[in-house]
Amino acid sequence: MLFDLDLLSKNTKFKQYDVCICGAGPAGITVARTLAANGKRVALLEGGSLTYTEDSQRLYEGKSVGVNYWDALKTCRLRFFGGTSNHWTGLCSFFDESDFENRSQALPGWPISRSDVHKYFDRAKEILDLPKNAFQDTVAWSGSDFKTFSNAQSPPTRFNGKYLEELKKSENIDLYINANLTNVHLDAGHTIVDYLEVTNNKNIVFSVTAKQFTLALGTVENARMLLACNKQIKAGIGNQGDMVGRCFMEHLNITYGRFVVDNATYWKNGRVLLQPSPAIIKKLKIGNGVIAFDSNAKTKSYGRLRALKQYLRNLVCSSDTATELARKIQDFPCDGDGFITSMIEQSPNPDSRITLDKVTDRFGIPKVILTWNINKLDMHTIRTIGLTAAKEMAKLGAARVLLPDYILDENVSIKEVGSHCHQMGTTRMSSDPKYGVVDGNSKVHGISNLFMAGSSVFSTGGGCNPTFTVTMLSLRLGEHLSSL
Amino acid sequence: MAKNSANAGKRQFLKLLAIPPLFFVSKLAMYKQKDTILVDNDIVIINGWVLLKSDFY
Repeated sequence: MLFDLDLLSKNTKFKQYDVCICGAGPAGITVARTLAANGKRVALLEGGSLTYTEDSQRLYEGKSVGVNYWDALKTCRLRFFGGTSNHWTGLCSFFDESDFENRSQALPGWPISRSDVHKYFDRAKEILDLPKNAFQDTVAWSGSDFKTFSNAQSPPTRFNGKYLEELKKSENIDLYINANLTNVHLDAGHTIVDYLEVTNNKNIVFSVTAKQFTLALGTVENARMLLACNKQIKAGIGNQGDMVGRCFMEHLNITYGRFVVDNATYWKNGRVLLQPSPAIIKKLKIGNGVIAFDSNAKTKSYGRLRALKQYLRNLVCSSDTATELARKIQDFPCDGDGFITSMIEQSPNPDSRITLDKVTDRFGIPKVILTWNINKLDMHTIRTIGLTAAKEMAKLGAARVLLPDYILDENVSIKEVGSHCHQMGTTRMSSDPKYGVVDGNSKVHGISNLFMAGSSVFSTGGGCNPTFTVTMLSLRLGEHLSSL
Repeated sequence: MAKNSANAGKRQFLKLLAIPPLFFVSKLAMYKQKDTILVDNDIVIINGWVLLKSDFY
């Protein structure tokens, strides 16, 4: 059933649900559908509407004070039914076994193994509309230090379009839109969630009760709500180890320079995506990542004068002598050059974190301050992956790679660290509350009936796109909640 | 008087024409040849290019 909270009167009494889930993105919808299939009664609360509205999206505004995160706090995520799947590119991949281990030394890895997650591999493929043979057509890479990045393309699945009708017809799921979570109320002992306060756009506050509660609001909002619900516990809910909001991770988007094709047989498909092998990750003490070689890239100019810039670039590139001369001054890419980009794992770092601002949104919830930090291990990973991949290309005779100063010389700082809108961490999974917020079942430490869903529970970021893993973890959480 | 003024204009124009090449040459002068970096038994890095030693020897 579908209910619009904006149309409900103040005296509306909610049913008693088995589970109440906040957030109707891929994680929340997947948990809800799993519970419903097991006969559980579910309230699924979505803060936004069925379509994009600027009023709802503005609630995601925050401040970024660390490494430049441009306007990504507001633009990476979407605050309406279907969540960020509404602008997802659809690339799916999964963690290596070793991605679950501790690489940073400072913090433990996951308390669960890959096999715990991969039990849900085939079901996740169905949810994300991946073909049955997905991940099986990977061509082996002939080098020794890298392997082909195994990935599959979802159409991409828009959870809004695919699942809305099913949820409307569902007897077990009540979907509420314009239902903004504004407080999590605990019992007197502060160990059980009593009820949620949910506010509509007319500022009418409702109470929702259930046996179990799940926050599936996204990496930033999950941490924000736990920190903001501080009326009963000053530090926020689940924050006894001071870990809520910490270890915010992204996948780092680093430009690795250019290359010239040496042996054309390696470049039949134009694009080669490589990951360091688990052995080389261990040997060189680096994180994981994907390095993408595009053998025939197109240049692009930016800014108001982009047309003129592109014309001049093409003019210079049309002459070998002029190109050579330009390249003596600075790196000067031309159409048809090989380009190298990347998606590098960021290690969990407690200093990379979400905190609360004094400024509040229209519901009185403090806005977030993101301090995105990149540490020495991340810089080591960035440089080592670049250099090792370039060496492998030379040794195979596949290509000759030109690396920029900032990769070769650790005294030169990297001008621009980009991101991939893969927000992870902030309520990380750990069996010890000193190092995480949720346990191996995604239950918040110290609270018996509060669970977290989505990539906020990632203990490490791995070197792959997160949505497929989020879907498998959500199926796992749905099954666990069904068993309670 | 008019001739002097025309010459001054020409000189000014020539000066302006000289700016782009001078800018380019100064940039070139700033460009510093990087050192060769030896990486391991097989690899050599020259001006950022990661190459095989056997390409040269």
